[in-house]
Amino acid sequence: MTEPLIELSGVSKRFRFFQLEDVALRLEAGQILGFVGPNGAGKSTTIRILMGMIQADRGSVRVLGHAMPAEQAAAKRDIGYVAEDMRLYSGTTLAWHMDLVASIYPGWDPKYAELLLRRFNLHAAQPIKALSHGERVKATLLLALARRPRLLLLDEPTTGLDPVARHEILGELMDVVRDDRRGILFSSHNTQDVEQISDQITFIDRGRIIDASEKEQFLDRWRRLSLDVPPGATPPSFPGVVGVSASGRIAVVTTRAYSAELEAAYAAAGMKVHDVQRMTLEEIFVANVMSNRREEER
Amino acid sequence: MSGSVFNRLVLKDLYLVRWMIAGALVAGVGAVALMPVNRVATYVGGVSLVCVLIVLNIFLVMTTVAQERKDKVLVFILSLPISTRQYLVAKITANLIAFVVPWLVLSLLTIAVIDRTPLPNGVLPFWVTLLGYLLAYNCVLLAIAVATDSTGWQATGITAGNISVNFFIPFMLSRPSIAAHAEAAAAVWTPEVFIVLAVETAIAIVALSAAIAYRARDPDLV
Amino acid sequence: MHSLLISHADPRPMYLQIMEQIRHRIAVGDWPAGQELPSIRALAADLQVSVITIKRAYLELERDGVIVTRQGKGSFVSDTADLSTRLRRVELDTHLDAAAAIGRQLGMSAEELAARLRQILREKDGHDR
Repeated sequence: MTEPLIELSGVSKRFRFFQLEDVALRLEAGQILGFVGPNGAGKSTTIRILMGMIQADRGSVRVLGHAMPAEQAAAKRDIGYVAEDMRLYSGTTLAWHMDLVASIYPGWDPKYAELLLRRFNLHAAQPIKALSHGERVKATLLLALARRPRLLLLDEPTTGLDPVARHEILGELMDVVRDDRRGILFSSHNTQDVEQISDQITFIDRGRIIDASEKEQFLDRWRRLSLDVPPGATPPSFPGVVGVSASGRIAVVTTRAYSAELEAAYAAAGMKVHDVQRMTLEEIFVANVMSNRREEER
Repeated sequence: MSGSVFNRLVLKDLYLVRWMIAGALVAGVGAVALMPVNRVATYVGGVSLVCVLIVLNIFLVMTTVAQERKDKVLVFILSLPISTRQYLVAKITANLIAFVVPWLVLSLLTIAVIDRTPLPNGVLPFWVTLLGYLLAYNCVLLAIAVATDSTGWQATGITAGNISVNFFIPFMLSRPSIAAHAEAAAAVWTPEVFIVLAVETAIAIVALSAAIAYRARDPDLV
Repeated sequence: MHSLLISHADPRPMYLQIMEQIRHRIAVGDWPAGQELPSIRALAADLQVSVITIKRAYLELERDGVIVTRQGKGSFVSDTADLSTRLRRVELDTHLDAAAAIGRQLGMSAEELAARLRQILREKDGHDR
């Protein structure tokens, strides 16, 4: 049983207007973890903590078996980090950066770098100043991917990219996990990408982890039930039900713990289930966050 | 392994400021060349030399430290396999090399010019303390930029430093041990001169060490 | 190669799409008994779909006896795969026959019967897994 690539537990960090509270994350080798949350939820901060760029007030942070930030230099030898707000030196070219990275990392694969240049439609001689947003993201991704690091930490890698670029990037990311010793953690609020390639999904909102599970479990367990109800009646909130909305004779129940027994329970309460719908990850995400916020306000 | 990352970072910074170093050398050599021409030229050349070194200092620090932070390139650099402390030391090393090389060349040139030309050698101790002052000033400004992200503090440092040079020069020139021999053909090295040099060295070392210690304590550079 | 396809426009879960397409490949004879399936990770990378989804598809197919996984060697089309498919088709026809008969007794038209079947499928889709 190999060691997890990432092991975060009980991590808390207080800022002036925001705090991370008791964050836990775990990424096994060979897996992709989608880290999903609204803007300002704490995704970037958590990833910076993983990189040793920010020190947590409390909790344990282990990446590739190294304690962070104490052993950050050793850990970063095998981590590729790409962040939305990361910039390159504007007075230079992409080739200059490729040389810099290649001189530092023995794992740099020049052939793969060439391939990525073609695939991402970039030119090494391009001045950084002249890169568009999408090209810059692809360039920083290239610098990270061509080293073939064991762990990739990606902060919103597809945000603001056109569909073609997204497709290319997802392809390269999936290529990474052909090797079952490597892994990826990527944060996104593009739930379609997360739904497509993630093995594990963790939801974060307002500095707290609100849910974490295998992707298939999320897709299996969340459902929207349409019920035929007597006029004016409200369906009971059985365990696992996170939202109920009724109007006239129809009610919609959102549940995170769907089972045949649930349908039977409603039938027994005189409410016929006339439709059961699966939910996309986006719908699950929104419902999860909303219900969690309502809980907190109570 | 990490030794080579360190070297790469230093070389990277030197590469990015190569034109500044070259420019300072050219301008500085020009300034020093002026000095033996006539009395006015000595003054102009001397002041120009001081200006060149101060401007070089400010540009170096602002480019390598503050700009990097502002441009968010810092995040890219910190994603490399180094610790916060290594980053700070590499930054300081690069800056020192970038300043000291032209400073040393110009200092030696100044001393050589004063010695080989009709310019009175008695003015040498003054120049040596002034050049030492500029080096110490460089270290202090560098230390401030490393220790704090606040452009307010950096601006204060630059302003205070500039103003202080204007006080240092008349102060040193008015020192009896200097004033007495300023026009003399031979340099007179009094203990006072060495004390001043020692103080300048101490300030430089203390400022930089304090800056590293202070910043390394709080690893959140971003 | 395998030219399996995932459609995001298809509302059915990805693992079901994969299972269906693998079954189909086997049914038309492209993948005969004993044929090795692509490795889970290779297929995941080719389809740009998470490894866990492919794993699930393979697991379910193995449960249904369509494929066989040998530890450390890979997954293979089981020898009884198309046999069981043929058997199950026979099974299906038997049930449909009975349903048609009852439907006729109830006086249902072909359209009503088809609509009823669609509704059941929808409910079953929600029911299963």
